[in-house]
Amino acid sequence: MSSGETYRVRMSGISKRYNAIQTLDDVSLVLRPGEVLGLVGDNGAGKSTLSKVLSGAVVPDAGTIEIDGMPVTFTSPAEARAARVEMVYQDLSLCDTVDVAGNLFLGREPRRRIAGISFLDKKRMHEQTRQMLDRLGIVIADTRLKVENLSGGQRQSIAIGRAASFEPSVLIMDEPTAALAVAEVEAVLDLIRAVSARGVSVILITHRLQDLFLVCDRIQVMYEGRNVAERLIGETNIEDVVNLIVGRKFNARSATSAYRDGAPA
Amino acid sequence: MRPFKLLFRCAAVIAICSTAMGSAFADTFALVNINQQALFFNQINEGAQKAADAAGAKLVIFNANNVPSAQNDAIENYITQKVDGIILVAIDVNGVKPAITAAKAAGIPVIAIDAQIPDGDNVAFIGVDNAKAGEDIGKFYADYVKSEMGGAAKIGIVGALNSFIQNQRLDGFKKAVTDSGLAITFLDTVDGQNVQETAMSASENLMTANPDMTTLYATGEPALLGAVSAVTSQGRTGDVKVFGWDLTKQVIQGIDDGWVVAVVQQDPAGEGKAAVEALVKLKKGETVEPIINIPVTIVTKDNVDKYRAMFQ
Amino acid sequence: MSDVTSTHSAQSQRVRAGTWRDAVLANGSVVSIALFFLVVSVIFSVATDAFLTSPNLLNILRQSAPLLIVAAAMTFVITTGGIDLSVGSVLALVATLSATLLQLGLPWPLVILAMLALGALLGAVQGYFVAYEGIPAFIVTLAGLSVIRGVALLITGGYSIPIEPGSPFTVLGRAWLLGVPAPALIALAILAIAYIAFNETPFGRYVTGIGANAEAVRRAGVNTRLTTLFVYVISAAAAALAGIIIAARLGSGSSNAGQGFELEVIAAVVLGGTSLFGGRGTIVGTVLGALTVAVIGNGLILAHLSPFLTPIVTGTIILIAIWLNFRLFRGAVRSR
Repeated sequence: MSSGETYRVRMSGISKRYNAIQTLDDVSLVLRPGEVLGLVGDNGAGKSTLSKVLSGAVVPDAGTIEIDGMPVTFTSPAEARAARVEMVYQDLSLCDTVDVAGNLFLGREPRRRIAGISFLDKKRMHEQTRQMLDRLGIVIADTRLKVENLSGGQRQSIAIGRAASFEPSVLIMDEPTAALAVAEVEAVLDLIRAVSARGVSVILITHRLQDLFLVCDRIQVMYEGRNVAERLIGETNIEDVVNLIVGRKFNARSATSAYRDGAPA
Repeated sequence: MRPFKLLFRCAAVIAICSTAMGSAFADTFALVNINQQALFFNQINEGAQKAADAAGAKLVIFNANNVPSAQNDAIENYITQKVDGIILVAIDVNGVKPAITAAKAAGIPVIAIDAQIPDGDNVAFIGVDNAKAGEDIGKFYADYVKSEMGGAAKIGIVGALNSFIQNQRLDGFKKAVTDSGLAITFLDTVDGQNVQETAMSASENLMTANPDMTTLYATGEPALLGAVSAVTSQGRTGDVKVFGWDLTKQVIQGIDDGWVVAVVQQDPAGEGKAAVEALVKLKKGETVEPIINIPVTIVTKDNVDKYRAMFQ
Repeated sequence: MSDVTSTHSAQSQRVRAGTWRDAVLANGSVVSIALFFLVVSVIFSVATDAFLTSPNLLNILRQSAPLLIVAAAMTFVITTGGIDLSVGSVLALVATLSATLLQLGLPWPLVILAMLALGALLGAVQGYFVAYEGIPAFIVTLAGLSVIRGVALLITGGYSIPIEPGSPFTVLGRAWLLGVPAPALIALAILAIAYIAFNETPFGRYVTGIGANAEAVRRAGVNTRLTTLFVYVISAAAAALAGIIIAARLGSGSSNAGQGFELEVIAAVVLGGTSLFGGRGTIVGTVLGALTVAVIGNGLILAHLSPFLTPIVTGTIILIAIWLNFRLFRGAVRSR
């Protein structure tokens, strides 16, 4: 808080040790309201663990977390959710055999009481689902479709839409675009922009570096449990990021000029 | 069905371990029974227990829960325990043979109750001659049709096809009825599977399929109880006369009301008693008859009174 | 189904086509068993005079009432991905115990309430081990199957226990109301409740959700353990009701009642299109499945089929029904 600026999230000095391995070593992270932060690093760099600390799934050995300037400690995902930190797990948040509206409203279905018994208010549920999908620009023709009949991108969109509908202040996404068709990646990235435009701060973990340049405001690079670099998106390029990730000057063939064109000016 | 088998094997071992303790002083006889559901088997147990108490012997009872292989396992275990004699109410009369042979080889006499073992190594068989008793009730039935129904009738049958002895009762019945030469038509046989409500539904369907049915024969307790309920529920007590095996309270009610005509009543307690007594004799070095028949009674309105007390 | 209009016309055309296919697939198993049920009924109607008469149809309804009631409850259990093998034993225990209590002179309304409560309690105990201790439902209820029937044996000493023919208790099994047997009316009421609970309440939604992805439902803040426990309460209470009806009909409580009943129930549920893997259930399908099982049992006797052939034909018909369902509507029965 010495900087004078109030961050949405401010993690500092976060450390976590699993037996012999120091998974996180004095890591810090800041996130501004409405900002999209790309969190990158090679496998084992600690980005997933860091995101789990923020979402309450992992309790750190040391370090502090502040949300909107208030110090917090999370010992469970429920506590993180109460502080309006949501994490999108696609596989863990959708029921295949339940329809789109049912998934979006799972656990908080609109109800009407008849003779003291709660019934689903399906009409209201589908109407509200339609509104929610339109607001976020998610294209699904019928809210009665079962989720198992949707494409991977549509499923991911529903998972993100569901998390966003809890009006979170922070949304964490771990590889939301992995294994999606090209056109679907675009749709999911559009959705991330739409969510952040509504004031939600987003942490995006991804291996698809080209995605970072399409949606992120800032990139934080981790290497073996420490943060090694932070770059505003306008001040970096894909080659720079690759070198930071691998931890040395590396003439990455995967980051040649063809890819550089993908970065926004 | 493997888990069931395993479960019952475990139960067998536990039962045998826990019951065969302290058998060093008195003679120990083992009774391997079929299940504990039917009154019949429990009466065998009771009769045998009383006889054993009277003879100062110890009786251990194993309940196979309708699982044939459990009986083999039990007999093998009793052989290891060196009991002084085994009484067997067999489920699978052929499948249990190797175990009986093993018992004989170990010098342990086996007495079969209720179901005879074909060419078995058992010392004796005690029981009702089901085919013969089936003939008896068949003859009674034919006489009834002749004297009360003008010599003509149509009969439906509720059986238990998984029971060898109930099939014998059916065959004996059919033989006597056919031999009578009367104009009796055999309609369908339905399978009550020895379960009351199954027998009830099957009996209802039997009557629906054969609206002209005038008599009904049920080969065992669940079959007869189910049939009696079905005749009542279908409102056919006025035009269907019922014959069968094994009394129950409802059956006695039917006899009192006049539409249950005759019921074969066995003496299971007598069978259990005779089996223990035979083993005691063998133990003393005496011999026993290879086939000991325990007589049945055909219960009608005339003699039902003395059975009432059993079903209060 | 697709009454929703969308402005995204180009994309919605593709998705719309999927919607139609989805509608068929989603209801395919119900359509399949309905067709099969019709075909079987038509065959028996043509082949026998007695089948399509109102006394026989009412007989079928009355005979299948216990099956319908328990199968409807079992649909909830199987949809969560569980199974309840103990229903036949619960039925037997309730049948024997209700006869015993009536003999002791307890008033019949109290006996009925006590038996339903007993069923619910047995279900709660088994549900606890499944939901809170994480023991597979197959094992828990297999143990329940053995223990509960064992208690029935212990209580009765193996004797079947008569119920006084004059007792109002027997009305439940034997009475007629508006030209329909009482057990059939009870079954109808239970089925209506089950349908509404399954399709129109949050509880039914969570049952499906737990079968599809229990973790997702848990993360959505639903008490999935309590929900899972409750489906076993439902199935055991339904089995208790079936036991009351059977005891009332027979006027006798026997500890060998309901032997193999659990398999008949599971067959009816699966025949109706509910997936044994969970996540997919249908009450309508279950009703059709149970009626198909009942009609086959009834029709084969009416067709004067030899009783030695009946089990063979019954099993074959059931296999054909499942096979048709699988071939015609692949995806409806498939595992997830």
